[in-house]
Amino acid sequence: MRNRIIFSVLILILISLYPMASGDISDTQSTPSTASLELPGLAINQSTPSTTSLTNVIENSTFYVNASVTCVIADCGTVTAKIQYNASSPVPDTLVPNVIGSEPFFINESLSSATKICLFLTQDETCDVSWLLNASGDINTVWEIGVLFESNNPSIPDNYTDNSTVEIVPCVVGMTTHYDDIVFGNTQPNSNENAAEGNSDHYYNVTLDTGSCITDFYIKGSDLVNTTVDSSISISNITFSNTTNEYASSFELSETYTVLKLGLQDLENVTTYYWINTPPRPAGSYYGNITIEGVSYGEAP
Amino acid sequence: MGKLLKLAIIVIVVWAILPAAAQSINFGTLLKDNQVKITPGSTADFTILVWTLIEEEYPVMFTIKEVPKDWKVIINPTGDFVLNQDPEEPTEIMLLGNENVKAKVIKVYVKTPSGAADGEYKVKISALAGFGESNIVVRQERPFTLTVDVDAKADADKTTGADMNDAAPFYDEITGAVANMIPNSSGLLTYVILIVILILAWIIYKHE
Repeated sequence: MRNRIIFSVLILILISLYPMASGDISDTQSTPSTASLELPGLAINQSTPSTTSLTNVIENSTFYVNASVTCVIADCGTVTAKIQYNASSPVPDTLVPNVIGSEPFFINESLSSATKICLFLTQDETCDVSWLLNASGDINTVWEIGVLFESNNPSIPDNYTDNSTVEIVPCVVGMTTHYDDIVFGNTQPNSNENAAEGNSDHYYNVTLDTGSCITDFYIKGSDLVNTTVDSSISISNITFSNTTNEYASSFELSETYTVLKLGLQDLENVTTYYWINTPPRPAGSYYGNITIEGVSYGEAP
Repeated sequence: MGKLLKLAIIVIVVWAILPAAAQSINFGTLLKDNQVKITPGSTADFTILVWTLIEEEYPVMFTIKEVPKDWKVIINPTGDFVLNQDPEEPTEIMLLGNENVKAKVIKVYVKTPSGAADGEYKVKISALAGFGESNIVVRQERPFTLTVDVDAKADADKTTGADMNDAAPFYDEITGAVANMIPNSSGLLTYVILIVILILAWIIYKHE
């Protein structure tokens, strides 16, 4: 009999320890979901910004906060949604202001309000809400943003979305070179003004991405080398133009950066053209590279 | 049949004379905070985000261009890596327009010598993107200038965590490894206890 009791106790310990071993125990505060709710309530979700990764938002740009609420088990009454940020504590505690210029965020909508009403939500009914915010705060500041859902029915508890962590960052530099090589094909030794194959198709484009700072483009190259015949062609034999497909408008490339174009605005495109003056050199394939650099307006390359 | 053959020949000829589609390189970068204030002998850390908006992946390599004498700079990850739209961790989200872009996080650690005099120092690094195999390869380069403000009187609380940063790169590697081991070893220990209890229970049950 005593052994049976010991056996039972051991089995109970076994059962109680299992969740620890399997990692099921979590001390995070759970939010109701349609699956776990046994009482009427508000199942909520915040889709953007991410609630799992830090989101970087460019200073003075706008972004959407999207959240949804679903009424589960029973009717939920009139539900309101409030967008908040952490003004004075680690968690969102203050309504995002709707006054233009407020920091670190303001609602950038024509009829702006931090509170939005979902009206009466019946069982299984979903309400989507969104706000367009302007990231007006200081660069390199980090904030928590969340949405609070409340019902006018006192038996329905409030519910918060998970928080989104947002960092306000300076403008970026992003650019697309729409080509990864320049092809001159076969050229004769001692021949000049050999156009690159893509010139006539206006093929060699460089575009500044959206969200970019005002940017300067610079260009440089390396000498073309043929190790088999131990010969090289100076990069100054290649010329480029950022305006027209005419050799006369072109400039020599060098091994140090020269201006390609200054002061580009985002989405601005530069079409470039290339020519090579082939010096008298042994026949063969010559290899080199051309590098295009983007820097914030006024910075040295 | 003759017309079809002619058409096929025209298509093949047109296809043959068209230049091969070149690969685009889209390269976006952000240096989050370009100036850090620290005390002499401690380590400043900087964060750079890199991303691409297009499907083509390409290699990226960071290199150190300029650093004050006796200073040490570590860039993590070291060497080159492939950048694509779903980069390896660590990552953050870069919001561009209304598009959430997954950006790779590059950490740069700058260790100052303990005898460094007060003042602003510049560390220059650059990222080179794209390494084709054609005769004349086109690449993108992006320079970054990191400013380290050495101040012996700097408030430790207002620096980037000078004490911890002293060993930041190594600390990350070591603690990362240990942190990965702790949950596993804890779980393993619990499993061992469970198995022992199970065996004991079975022995007791059998001997009743």
